[in-house]
Amino acid sequence: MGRTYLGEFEELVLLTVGVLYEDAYAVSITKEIIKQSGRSVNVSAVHKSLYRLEKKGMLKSHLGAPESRRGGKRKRIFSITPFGKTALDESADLRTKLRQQIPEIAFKWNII
Amino acid sequence: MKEKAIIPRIPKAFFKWYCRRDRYEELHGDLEEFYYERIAEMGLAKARFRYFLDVLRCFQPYAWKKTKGIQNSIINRPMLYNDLKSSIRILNRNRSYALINVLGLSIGIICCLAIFLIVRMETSFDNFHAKADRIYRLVTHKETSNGFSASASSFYPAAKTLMNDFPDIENALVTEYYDGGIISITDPDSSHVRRFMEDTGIGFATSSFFQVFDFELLRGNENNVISNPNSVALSESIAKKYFGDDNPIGKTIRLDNTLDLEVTGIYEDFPSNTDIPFHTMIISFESIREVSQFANLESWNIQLSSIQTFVLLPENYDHEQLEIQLSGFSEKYLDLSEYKSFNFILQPLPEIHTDERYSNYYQLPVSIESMKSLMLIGLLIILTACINFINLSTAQSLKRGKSIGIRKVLGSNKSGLVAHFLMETSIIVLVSLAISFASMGLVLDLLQKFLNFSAPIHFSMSGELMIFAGIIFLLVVVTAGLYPAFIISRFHPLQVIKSRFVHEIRGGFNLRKALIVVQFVISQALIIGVIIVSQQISYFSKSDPGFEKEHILTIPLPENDTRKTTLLKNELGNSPLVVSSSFAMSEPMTEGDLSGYYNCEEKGITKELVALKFADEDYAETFGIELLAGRSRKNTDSVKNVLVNEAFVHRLGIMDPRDAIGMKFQMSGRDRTIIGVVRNFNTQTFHKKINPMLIGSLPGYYYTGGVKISGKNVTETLQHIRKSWEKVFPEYIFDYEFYDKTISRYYEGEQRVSVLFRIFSFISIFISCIGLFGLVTFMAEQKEKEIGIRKVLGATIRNIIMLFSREFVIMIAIALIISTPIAWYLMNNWLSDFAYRITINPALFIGAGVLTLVLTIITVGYKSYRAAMVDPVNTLKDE
Repeated sequence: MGRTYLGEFEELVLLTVGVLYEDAYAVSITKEIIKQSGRSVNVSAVHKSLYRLEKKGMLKSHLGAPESRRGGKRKRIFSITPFGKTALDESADLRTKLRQQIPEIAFKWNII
Repeated sequence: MKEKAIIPRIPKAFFKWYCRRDRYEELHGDLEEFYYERIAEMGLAKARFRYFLDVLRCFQPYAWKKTKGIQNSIINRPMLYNDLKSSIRILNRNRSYALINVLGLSIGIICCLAIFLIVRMETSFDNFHAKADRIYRLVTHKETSNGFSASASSFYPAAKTLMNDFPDIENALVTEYYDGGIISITDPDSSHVRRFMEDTGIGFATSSFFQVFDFELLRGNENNVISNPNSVALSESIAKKYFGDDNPIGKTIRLDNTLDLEVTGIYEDFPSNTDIPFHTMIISFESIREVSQFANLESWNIQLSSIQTFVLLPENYDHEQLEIQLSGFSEKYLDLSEYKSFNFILQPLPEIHTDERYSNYYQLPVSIESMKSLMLIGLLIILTACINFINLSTAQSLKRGKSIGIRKVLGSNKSGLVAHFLMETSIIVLVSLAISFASMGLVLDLLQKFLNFSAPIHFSMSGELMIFAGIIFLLVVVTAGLYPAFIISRFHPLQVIKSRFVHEIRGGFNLRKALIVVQFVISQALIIGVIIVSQQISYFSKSDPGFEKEHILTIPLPENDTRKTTLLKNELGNSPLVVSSSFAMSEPMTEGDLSGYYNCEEKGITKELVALKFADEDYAETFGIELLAGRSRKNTDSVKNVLVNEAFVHRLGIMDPRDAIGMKFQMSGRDRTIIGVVRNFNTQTFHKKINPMLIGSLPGYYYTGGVKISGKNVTETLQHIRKSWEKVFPEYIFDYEFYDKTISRYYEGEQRVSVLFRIFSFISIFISCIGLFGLVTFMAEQKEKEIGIRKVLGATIRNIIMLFSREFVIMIAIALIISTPIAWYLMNNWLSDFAYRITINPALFIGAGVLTLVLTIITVGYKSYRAAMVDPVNTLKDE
């Protein structure tokens, strides 16, 4: 599969799936992202990323139990795969690495 | 959640249609979960709308069904690309035709979008209050000897009494609009006084104002901010204007040099889409006693248009039930003997802006009818553009017979061809939509300049607008594209390939001709409308209201102390530039209306209404009111001696005004004597009839001054008036207005209708003209050879032009026959609003017909002349 590109929003979704652990499905993920990031997120955007991540092999999923508050319908619960974890780690490492390479002088606006 | 709300049916069906089976359960489960939660959070209506949006947003590849096969689906990828490519090529080849369509459709769509935004703005008034569906305004319907009247005027104690008598009512409040005041602020350090003139926006309200309405308090507590006497809440921008960046809380401001008010709160500036006019400051209600002579907070005898009462009902409360109980309420507190009927009605808050029956503090509502006629015009314009499209494409289709034939031979089926043609239409409509959106900002700016909207309109890509644009897109593609698509796909391949020309059936019924007639009908009806509206408006401005309005200045008086007004009058009279001046309770023509009851035992009249004007002795002279009999009032006359108008004399059954001199009648238990009769003049706008009226005197109650000036050297005159003012009222700011300006403002609504009519009918006519132009261009191309042969056989240029025009002249005549009754009916309806109106001249209809004829001949003539001028050699040489 090689290195798979991970979009910013996809990364956010992937992380949130991890955070929610056993209760990660579209509605809870949407709410969690809204709560944590404060941006307005629509459930259809989350759907899109979830299915794409599953296709890339970073997520796996199974159907949960039916619930009355969703009109008796089952929900699809997602969890991170080992490959998903690697992708997350690589992305985080890359950021840290790049961040550390910025010379201190680049942040000294006042002396110029 | 008490019960499960039903999921909106249509969006759900749509979702089910596009969603793939294996993901339907989880996806729809998610949407349902959000839906049920939102019902609890924001109510059913919003939740349903958001659900609808969600369904639209989920319309994405991840949720789509896999397409089953190429044959069945309209959206089949390889053909789609081919269609797109050939559509663009075809449009590119017929650029002028595409241009005409794009131009017409863009203009049409711009109009529709603009009208949509206007209507949305006008209907958004006061919808933003969270409790808007539970807030009602108390209005009255009453019937007297002068007929039925409806008003929003209210009584001082109404709110308090309602709260006492009906414990069900959650809250009630009374407000009074204060008509302009001077605010003075004394600087505590230097005792320097700063003065501000606030013409509009000052209100008095009881303490629950901020609890009932959703106006945000930035400082102060909404429960008690204006509950203490002499406290005031300022709007944010006014606070900034008065105090800059200092903290205004606790500071003192003085209203009209008499009433000291302590600032206890700051509220966020009102949004522009509210009809509650208190955008500068709101003062505790009790304080009204200090500044208004009429204020008697316990009295039910005063009904003022500046007072309005609002009621907040509990949730799910039937307001009609309360209205029934209110009939007992009105009997209990009001003396209803003078009314044939009297009812309190509860008017829902969001309807205030669009119900023309009631005035609205000082501004006029916008009628729902004018909104509807605007929408109708928008629809007509887009229809005109669609007709162009249909006509041009069916005409063009003849040219494309071959390509259609080949496609059919190669195995294309009918639905494929329809899809192909609709693709072409969609491209044109999409381009037009893009152009319209791009130019929308500019168009709105221009419109704003011509018309004073009630609130500024902002153009932003809101969800509603996008949906509306989507609807327009679909509507236009379907109305304009479907018919030609079917016509084209119906061609028989053998026939079109074999013969070079597909001949139209000449004469008889033909859709294209019918559609052109429809266009002419629309244009003619609009032309007639424009002419009638402008005639009516100029009738207002030119017709004689019975008094003079030119060279008259009106100045609002800040104080009505008789000594000061006499002083001012003397000062004004010092210059020859001032012809005369008069102080009065109101000018001859006003928006409001004051009336009282009179008896005339001699003539057997008891308790009838008469309009009242109170003024000093120079009123008639200053405002140029003509005296028909008797004499003018003198300042030595007692209050008993009054002037009356002709209508009053006629009501008494007297024909000759001279006979009325010396007649006596009774008002408020005292005798009045008629000393003079004046010519009838309009006391209210031309919408209303002239009723019996009297002019008496009531010194000490004069609120306005009228100054008749010579009209020479206006600047110097104004300076003189200002100097006189400053001598008498040094502590007030001088303010004036020319009376003709004031009056023309009363007709602003009509003016706006007139301008809108003109703009839109011009646009509609323009669109049909370019359509005709395109059609004639095409006809000329088709008839190239025919013209050549005719010329060879000896036809003159005139003959050939006639050949083209004859058809159109007949169509115009038919259109005239159809449009005349429609326009007559509609415009008669519009005119019936006015008590004084023009009569519709039948010549007008002929005029509209002639105008369309001229426009058509200009449009058609140019092209047909060009076609007729072509040398036959050039058209006939190749075959």
